[in-house]
Amino acid sequence: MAKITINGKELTVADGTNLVDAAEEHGIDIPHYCYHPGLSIAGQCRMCYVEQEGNPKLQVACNMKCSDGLKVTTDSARVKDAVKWSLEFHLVNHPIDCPICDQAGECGLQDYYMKHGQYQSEMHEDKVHKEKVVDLGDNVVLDKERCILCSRCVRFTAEVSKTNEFGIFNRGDRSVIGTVDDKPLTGNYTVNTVDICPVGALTSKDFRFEQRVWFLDSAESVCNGCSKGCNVFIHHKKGRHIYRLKPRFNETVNSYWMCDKGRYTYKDSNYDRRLTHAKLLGVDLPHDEAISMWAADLNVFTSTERMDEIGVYLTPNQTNEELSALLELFVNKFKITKFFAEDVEGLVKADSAVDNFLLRSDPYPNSKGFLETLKKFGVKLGSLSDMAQSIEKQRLMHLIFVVPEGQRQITQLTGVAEAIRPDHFVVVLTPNRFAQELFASSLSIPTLSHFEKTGTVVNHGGLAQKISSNFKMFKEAFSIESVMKQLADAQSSGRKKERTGS
Amino acid sequence: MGFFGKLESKSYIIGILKGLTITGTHFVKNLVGLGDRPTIQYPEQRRKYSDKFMGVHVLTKKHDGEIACTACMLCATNCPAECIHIVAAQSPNPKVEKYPAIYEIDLLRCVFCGFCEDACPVDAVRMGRDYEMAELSERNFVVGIEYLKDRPQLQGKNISVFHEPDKIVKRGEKSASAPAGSKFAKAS
Ligand code: SF4
Ligand code: SF4
Ligand code: SF4
Ligand code: SF4
Ligand code: FES
Repeated sequence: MAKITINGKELTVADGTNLVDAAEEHGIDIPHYCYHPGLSIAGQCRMCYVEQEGNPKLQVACNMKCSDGLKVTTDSARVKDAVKWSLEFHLVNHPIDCPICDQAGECGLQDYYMKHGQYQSEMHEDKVHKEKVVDLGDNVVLDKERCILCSRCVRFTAEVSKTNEFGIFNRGDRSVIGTVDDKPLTGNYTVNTVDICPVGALTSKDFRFEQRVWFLDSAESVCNGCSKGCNVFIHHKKGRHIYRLKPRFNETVNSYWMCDKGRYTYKDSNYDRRLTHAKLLGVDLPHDEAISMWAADLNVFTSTERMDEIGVYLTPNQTNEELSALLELFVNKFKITKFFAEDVEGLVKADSAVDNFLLRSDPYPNSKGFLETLKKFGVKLGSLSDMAQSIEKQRLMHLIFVVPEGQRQITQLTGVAEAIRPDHFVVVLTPNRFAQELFASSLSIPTLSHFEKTGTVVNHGGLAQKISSNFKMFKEAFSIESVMKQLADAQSSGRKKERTGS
Repeated sequence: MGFFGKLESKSYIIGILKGLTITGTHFVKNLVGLGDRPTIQYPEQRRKYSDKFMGVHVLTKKHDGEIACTACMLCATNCPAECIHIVAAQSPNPKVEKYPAIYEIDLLRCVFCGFCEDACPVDAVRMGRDYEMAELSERNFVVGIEYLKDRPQLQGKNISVFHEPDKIVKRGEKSASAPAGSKFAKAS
């Protein structure tokens, strides 16, 4: 621990903390562009000036480590003046096209101009113009004019993604950021450069012009792209449409980053890919009716002791809580014994980092939790080919598919879907419109997508992470837990009716 | 209080008579055309409204006929009635980055406050002068780009001041207004 003094206030911080971070911890804002806690120090932007006691010149805070006795001032007139002129330098050739810039609203230039600038520009010279709308591959668009040459993206590609793509070319006011010959970015981590760019020079193609950021609300969750379980923010508008995912800092999992594949998993939650109404044979029906219909058919099996004719398909996309709710009812109450899934154990065994960074080969966010919960309920899993055969031989007559969003299960289940005959009763619990289309004859009940769920998922390292998004996109889509509860209620009231004969 | 005062406060008849006298006087005056008439023979006669009157919006145009709006959504942000709906997109014109693929105003929700006009950074939306609105269906009050920029009442006068040729210096061109040799002229 080190005792330091900022603006006359004594603070205790960990030894060797970066001064910018230490100040931020205690609610003191030191403006900075080039400093990023996940990258090396560049000292490029000269925004973080502070006055250090015993030092005649202003110093950059980002290059200062806290140690005992450090005394700095961040709010003196001298510091304020220096920051102001640093900012003016950044704006000398900046196009200020905020109206068409996707960064507007979360832009470092805008924020610091309102806080530390607010001057009339003293430049009379015309601005130096540079290339706009440079296509850098599938994910990123570059606007060279807007760049303030902080070199964050350069350091990211050099130090983190190790793709070494960005560089600063030329000198003086002709300096431009770019890749060699404007080559497209490669690798699976390109959009992180968009996140760290403090201005609108690097913008995401996927989010381009989609929405102004001040309309977006934020929720916390965990990515469902793979077993890594990167922490994310979901940016949605009033819970009706998700616009993008942003990485959320977690030191032990993903640090400040996430991969591009995971970043686009939100698309499966939006309207065009969602099942929004309960459907029977592709025709909408009220949710209650769907549940009581399902309960009635289940009752036929349970009352005639034909539980071994019921088959359930599960995936590790479900949270621990969802799985517990499902198994509590299916195993403990209905005594169903036949469960099927992809070879999850195999996936877990073979799980490894695909590109030596974040993305892993196991595509499920909760494989470990899945296996554990199944073990707790003593469930043995059958393979999908077993399932298809049993269906073909009419040994399974009532089928329950719990299908998550995404395409993986759709391709996986085509074999099973082909085996189904009209006399099978098929129930699909899914947020996925394509799952309903795959089992066209089914009773499909909409559930929540991953990003609306509340619960726990366990990542590849055994770390249990809570997710709680607190928004619901469609009125008729319920969580698996509440669907199970509705089913249990409907089932017991159905049986009562049978017994009393009413 | 005298006798009549008492009667007046006790009985409503006198009040009614007084009221009728006023109505009657106006009736006779208007009938024979004495003095100013507060009503006019609309629509043959029309009032002259102030130039500051705020009626149906106008989307301004650049000289090439394209709309000046950049789809920044500041007007939609500022609108208290939340009646502006914009969908931004990449413009088909390579010289323009962002443009509104859809720009709709729901005139029935609009309160004609003019906040959208205030918010616009490029003089792309103005409050127009027309106020006569009649439609058969609610849906017709949601007006789009075509109506807002090209309705006949505008007579093509809606050119954005940001795009008048002598006011804007295009990239790589000399400013028309800056004298040669001035430090405002671009050194080429
Ligand atoms: S980078 Fe920031 S200041 Fe520059 S145009 Fe974009 S929003 Fe405006
Ligand atoms: S593109 Fe962005 S991150 Fe890269 S140097 Fe420029 S301002 Fe910094
Ligand atoms: S006049 Fe007011 S209410 Fe109407 S669109 Fe503009 S901002 Fe909205
Ligand atoms: S009318 Fe003006 S404020 Fe509204 S989106 Fe267009 S440019 Fe922006
Ligand atoms: S943050 Fe310190 S110089 Fe940029």
